[in-house]
Amino acid sequence: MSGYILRRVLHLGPVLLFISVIVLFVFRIIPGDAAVIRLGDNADPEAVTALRRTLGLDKPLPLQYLDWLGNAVRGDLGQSYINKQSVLSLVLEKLPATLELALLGVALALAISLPIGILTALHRGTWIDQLARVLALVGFCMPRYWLAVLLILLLAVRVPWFPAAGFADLTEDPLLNLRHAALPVLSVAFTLAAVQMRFLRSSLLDVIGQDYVRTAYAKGLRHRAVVLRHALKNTLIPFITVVGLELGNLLGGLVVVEQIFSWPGVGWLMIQSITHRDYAVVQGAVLLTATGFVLINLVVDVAYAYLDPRIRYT
Amino acid sequence: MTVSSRGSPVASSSGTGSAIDDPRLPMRDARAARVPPLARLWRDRAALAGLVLFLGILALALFAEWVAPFDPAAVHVRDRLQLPSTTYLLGTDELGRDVLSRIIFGARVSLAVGLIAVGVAATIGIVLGLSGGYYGGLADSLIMRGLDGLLAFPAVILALAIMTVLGPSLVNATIAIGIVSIPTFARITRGSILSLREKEFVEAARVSGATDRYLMARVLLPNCLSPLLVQASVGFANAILTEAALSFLGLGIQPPTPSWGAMLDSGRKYLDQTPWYSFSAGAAIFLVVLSLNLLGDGLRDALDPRLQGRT
Repeated sequence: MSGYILRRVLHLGPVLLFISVIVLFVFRIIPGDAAVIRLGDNADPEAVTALRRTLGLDKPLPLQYLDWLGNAVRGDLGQSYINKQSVLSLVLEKLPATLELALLGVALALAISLPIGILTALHRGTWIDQLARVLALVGFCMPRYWLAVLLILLLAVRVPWFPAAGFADLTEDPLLNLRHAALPVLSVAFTLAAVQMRFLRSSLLDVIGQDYVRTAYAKGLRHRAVVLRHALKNTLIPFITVVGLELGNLLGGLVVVEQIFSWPGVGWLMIQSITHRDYAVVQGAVLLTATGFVLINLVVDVAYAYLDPRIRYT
Repeated sequence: MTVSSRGSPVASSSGTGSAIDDPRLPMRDARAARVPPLARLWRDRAALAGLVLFLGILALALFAEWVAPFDPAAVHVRDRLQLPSTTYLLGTDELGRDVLSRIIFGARVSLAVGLIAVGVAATIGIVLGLSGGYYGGLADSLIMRGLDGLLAFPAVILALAIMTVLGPSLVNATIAIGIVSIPTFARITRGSILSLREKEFVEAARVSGATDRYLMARVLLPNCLSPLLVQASVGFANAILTEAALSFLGLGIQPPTPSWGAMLDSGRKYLDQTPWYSFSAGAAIFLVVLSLNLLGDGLRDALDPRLQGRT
């Protein structure tokens, strides 16, 4: 087990290195010169040359990469062109808002998907099952941004129960914060719950077809006891993996949701920075998001191996 | 995975040895032969509904000039932000353009971006996966680590980063979505090739003098088409979703070209006046994604050897 974890952590090194190469490669081929972008098109050429030297843009690309990587490892991801704030502190400042949406979204999704998923497996083929499957399919295919717009239309415009956009600090006014979070969290949770429900139902039904479940039936247990006590336990392990991977994917999905609800998280910061051509911030935010994504996947993989005694990766 | 073998009487990638559905084969499973994949797909009502829905949307896109009641760019200033009426079936936008016509022409844009992006991604992904899986060694490691690097980004974030650099446009959105979709196709192809590489029918073809190129293109590739076909339909849906997300964020297709994502975004400013504007653009995205997912689910079931023989 510890060998497996060690191997996975060692494997992380090259992946992170590739991420950094891709990020630098992508952002260094920006049409136009970073110095010109910062100083404006009509800037004095001498000032541009001086700034290029200060930024290290006059060096060969591999050297620029090493400089940048060296700084990044030490936590220095550069400065915002706009307000000169450190990129790392800017992103970390916005991170709690993003995490709040992600965690509340996943928690609400679980509260919906677990009971309904189990119910559909218990009542397979009944109208409950059919209805839940249709709902899950709708949720699965529904673009999150459309759902967000529909929720605004129904619960903010038609019936003004929740604010259509905005944010309040959780520590200052928790209730107002939750009111603002309601619609974004709902739009995150519904699509997540659909994926989880589909997965839980199909894997429960898969497990129910196995020999040990037949044994449980043979010794006289009732359907409900078999599903809840025997089948569910073995389904929860891959289910946790799916939930973990979804949390990683949410990092991308939240960009649009945060934009719609003007929720000041990392995704919102990214779009604002793109609009203001503040490339240093975009670059830093993309690098940190990808790193977060890889780390979440690593934790999920390790948790999977830890939870399932049958799995010992070789 | 269903195997339709060429050049060999025995082929199965599932490891169970029961999945042979080519009617030309003498050793086929009698029950499986009763229900070939296409017939199973035909009998799957959900998949059929998906196919009909998709073909309907495709027809609208192809014949947009004849079907759309108005020119999608025609501005009717006096009829700004109208609710649905007999003249404008889905109302009008902030410039008085007919929403229905823009949705119909938007289908053309969405489907074209999705199709080209998935086509390019599938071609590059299959070539990378085939050569990596077939040759193995250093080339395989390099290809796979590079793709791992790409997979380490959430798709929307990577597409956003690429669009930031390339600038918003139709072609650039297609390129960005194409790049983001490559790794999945490569991994699926490679996985299938690894399991097929050592099979007897491949060995037989090799012994009978087939070149590497022939083996890859004519022996191995046809045998891993099933999962790729399923991925193509799911990937198509994802590409349309990503394009709409980029356009929604203002980083995809630029006005005045009609785009569902951009319409959804502009429409939300007028939700209290004409909710149909934003609603119908979102509904269009939803319907095309639904049709492709129903079709993908149907294909997966129809091509799954474990379900063969079921009616």
